This record gives sequence, C-alpha cells and structure tokens, in this order.
Amino acid sequence: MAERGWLENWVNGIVQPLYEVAPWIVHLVPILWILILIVGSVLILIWAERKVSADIQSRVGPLHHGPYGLFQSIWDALKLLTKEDTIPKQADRLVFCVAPYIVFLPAILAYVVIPVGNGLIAADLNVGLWYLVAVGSIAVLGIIVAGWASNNKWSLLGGMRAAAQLITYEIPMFLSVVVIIMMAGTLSLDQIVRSQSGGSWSLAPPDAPFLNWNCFTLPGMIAAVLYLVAALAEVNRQPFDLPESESELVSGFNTEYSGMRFGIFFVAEFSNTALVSGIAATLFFGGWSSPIVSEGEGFWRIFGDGVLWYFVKITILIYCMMWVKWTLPRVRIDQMLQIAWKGLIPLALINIAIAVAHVAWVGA
Amino acid sequence: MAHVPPTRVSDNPIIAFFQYVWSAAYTTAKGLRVTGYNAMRRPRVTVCYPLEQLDISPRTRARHRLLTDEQGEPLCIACGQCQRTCPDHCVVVTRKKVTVTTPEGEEKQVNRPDTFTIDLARCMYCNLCAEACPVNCLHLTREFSYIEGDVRALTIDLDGLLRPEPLSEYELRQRETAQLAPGDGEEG
Ligand code: SF4
Ligand code: SF4
Repeated sequence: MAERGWLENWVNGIVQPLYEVAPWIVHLVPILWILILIVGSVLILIWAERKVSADIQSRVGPLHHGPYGLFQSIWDALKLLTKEDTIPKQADRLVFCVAPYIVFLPAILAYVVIPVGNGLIAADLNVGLWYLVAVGSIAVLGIIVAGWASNNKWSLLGGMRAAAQLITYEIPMFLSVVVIIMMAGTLSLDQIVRSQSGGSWSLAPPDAPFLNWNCFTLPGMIAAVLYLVAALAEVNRQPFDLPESESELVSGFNTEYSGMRFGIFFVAEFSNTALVSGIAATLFFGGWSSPIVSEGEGFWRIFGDGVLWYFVKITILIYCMMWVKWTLPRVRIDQMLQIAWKGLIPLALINIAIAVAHVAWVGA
Repeated sequence: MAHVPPTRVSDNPIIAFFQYVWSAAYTTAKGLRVTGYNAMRRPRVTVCYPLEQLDISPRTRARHRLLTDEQGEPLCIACGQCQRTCPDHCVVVTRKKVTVTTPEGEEKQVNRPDTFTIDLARCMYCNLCAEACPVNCLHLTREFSYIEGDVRALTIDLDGLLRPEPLSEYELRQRETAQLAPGDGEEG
C-alpha cells in the first residue's frame, strides 16, 4: 500500500500537471518503453554473443569490465562513439548517412505491436501481424541502400545479396505465419497470445498450460522451425550472413562504415535478433503466458503469466540462434537460394495443408 | 552444385525431397550436438593468460642466463665463442683479467667477461650460442615474458644475464656439466 501511495503522489504531483500542459506526453511513454527495451536488449545481447561464442569455442570471453565482463558492450559503444566517422569521397552522402537508421527503424516500429506482458503492448493493432511482416522488410531496404551508396563493389555485392535473401526468405516466413493466423483466427498479436495462454477455452489440462502453445500442434511445430530458419536469414545472421560475409566481401554492405554509423548497424542487427525471437515467442511459444501456472497463488504468482516468461522465452530462442550461428558455416549464395526455394517453401506449403486439416478436425 | 546428402537419394522426387529435408535436419542436429558438448565443457581449453598460466615445455628456449659458481662468480671465460657463433650478431662480449684464488690457495689470473650484452630483440632463440659455449655456462631459460616499452631495453647486459633467482633443477644439472667442462680459465 505504501508504494501505491508513493506512486500516486508522484503521478499527481509531476505527471498530472505535465499532462495538462502537453497532452501528447502520454505518447512518450510507449516510445520510452520501446527504447529501453531495445537498448537494454542490445547491450545484453552483445555481451551474450561474446560469452556464448566463447563457451562454444571453449574460450573464456570478456572478463575484465564488470562482473563476468558485463560492461563490455558499454565500452564498445564508447569506443565506437569516439572513433572517427568517415564518409568515402565518392559516396552518396545523404543516402549513406541515412542507411543505418533505415536498418534500425523496423526494430523500433515492430516493437509497437509486440505484447511483452499482459497488457504491456504499445499499440494492439488489429492487423498487427501484417504490420510486423510489412515493417520487417524495411531493414533490407536500408542494407541495399547502404551497399549502393558506399560506392564500393563489396558493399554493392552485399546489398545485392541482401535483396536476393529478402525476396527469398520473406515467402517461407510469411507462409509459416499464415498457419498461426489460421489457427488463432486473428491478426492481433495480443489475441494470438491470449489464444495460447490457459484461458477459459483452454484444451490443455490446468497443470500444463504450455500444451496450449501453437508449437505443440503439428502445423505449429513445423511452422515454428520454418519461421526460425527464415528469421535467421531475415536478420542476416550466420549461417545466412551473406550480405556481410567477412571472408568474401570484407564486411559486405557496411565495409565503408565507421564510428557510430557502424555502431548503429551493429545495434540494428542485435535488436532485430531480439525482435524476431520476440515474434517467434509470441506466435509459437505463447508469448508472455506461463508454462506452469497461468494464475498462481502466493509465491507462485511471480511465475504466472507475465513479462518474466516473455524474457525467458526470448532468452532461450536467442541462445539457440547464437548456438546455430557458432555451429554452422556460412552457406554459399546458391545454397542459400536452394534452401529456401527447394526446402522451406515446399515445406511451408505442405504445412498450410496440414494446418487446414488441423483447423477442420481439431478446431482453431 | 547438387546437394549430396550422406544417404542415397531416391529417384522419386517427392521421397528425395523428404530425404533432403531429413538430411538437413539431421546434420544440423549433429553439428549442434558437437558445439553444445563443447559449450558445456569445463574447464575450458583457454586459460586467462596473465592471471593463470599453463606449464610450458621444459625445452622452451627464451631469455638467456649466465651460470655462476657457488660463490656467485660467473663461470663464463669470455672466450667469445657465443659472439662468433650467433647468426644474428646479437651477442657482444668483452674480456677482462681477474685474479682468483684457487682452492689450493694459489693466486691465478683468469679471463672473465667485462661486458656481456645480448640483444633479445634480434635474437631468434636458436640456442647456437649455448651449444658453442665451451664451459656450458650460457643457456636459455624458460622465462619468456619480458615486455619493455622501449626496444633498446631489450638489450640485456651482465646484470640481466646473471639472474638473482635460485637455479632451477635443470639449471643445477646444467651447472654440473659446466664445472666438468674443460678449460675453466686455464689459459690465464
Ligand atoms: S640464441 Fe641464437 S640468436 Fe640468440 S643469442 Fe644465441 S646464437 Fe644468437
Ligand atoms: S661462449 Fe660461453 S664462455 Fe665463451 S664468452 Fe660465451 S658464454 Fe662466455
């Protein structure tokens, strides 16, 4: 109670007058929330990437900045900020400068519709899933444009590869998402999560609410795998990091970038990673819904539905993505296309047929 | 560029497709198992070098050392063999005469190094100088870490060569052979 009184005082004393002067201030709250989410996840992910790669290669990883090297990413950011920011002479200056932000943009835009917790959603659009797919393809535009504007053949090749990759992997990605739309019968991400959490229409026994998740149906399971493979390609992570393959294209589309502009590309990669695993968690693994107790009493309340489970799920998914990244070598460009056109897309089409049967017999 | 799965591919395109999918899933899982096993592995292969250190081989050749006798006198007779042998010309020895008292009580003049410098920056640790030494008093220790801010500081002199640390077991054995060696300052 004491806390509530303190919070009320705070709201009445500061926020209320502010709100009267500038009513648009309420719109800052979700923006702030999204920014905190992105910056926090990126800082942790850069550190995690190093630790996971170190683990897998039996190394130790960052150690000296903070406990377990946790502050390493802050030092990285400071280093990038203080570095000289060069623009090549022949580059298209305006486009060159804007490109990193275009890559970063969809991460911010997409978080608008991701339900992080029960009711913790910046805007519950009724076409949320469509919106996600639509903004998700903006990032690649930025990569193509960065490759073009750099006036460098490596960058251009990287950009071209990104274009090929986008065209190819958007299809299986969307085809696997279609399955979820069919099963949930809605495009709103909040509704999709609710249909998976142990609600009143739950088919699952009350002590195992996780059986309600989409990934525990046959089409949902296949769709989850397809989505995760396509998502790896979508965020240009290994084994699909062809746009920036270091060993062939120097650094691909970001060869000419330095300083904080390069840093933004870096941040974009990691926030997009967090984003696609967030989407995967939302669509297939029940979002913020809890796998053990949906309501919970007393102590168990903290393990009930809520923000905790969202972060647990994306942590596991991101770990898996990193695990894959440090396991598989980069595919060739022809293999990349082959995997999508000859593997994922036929599978996704078969999966839609399975989903039709599932919806018809088991019910949505 | 056809994909070659480990199993035989069927002629039926539909069965071949599923074989293809299966081999992709199977090989990926196999790879993940290997890396997953490595991620669990403790202790890790890498050690945090300056904090902890692996044992280095006893035959490591690094910084030089001149052996001394029990009284702390250098055994070197300043013959200059090491200087002559060194392929990198990084050893410079100058000679002086000193008078020593033998255990029998008679005084005797012997050659001892006046200055003795080795430029570690140019040395390639080939051990030729140590092999050339007729009294076996020069040898290469295992001490490999001597970082300097200035390359000139890597030229070590007599003080740097006569290390104060006690002799290791290997160095003690080395000294036994050194005292057995012929011609210890006898040319007077
Ligand atoms: S180890 Fe080889 S290079 Fe080094 S001082 Fe001796 S002879 Fe010269
Ligand atoms: S060869 Fe041996 S005895 Fe001769 S100068 Fe060199 S270290 Fe001294």
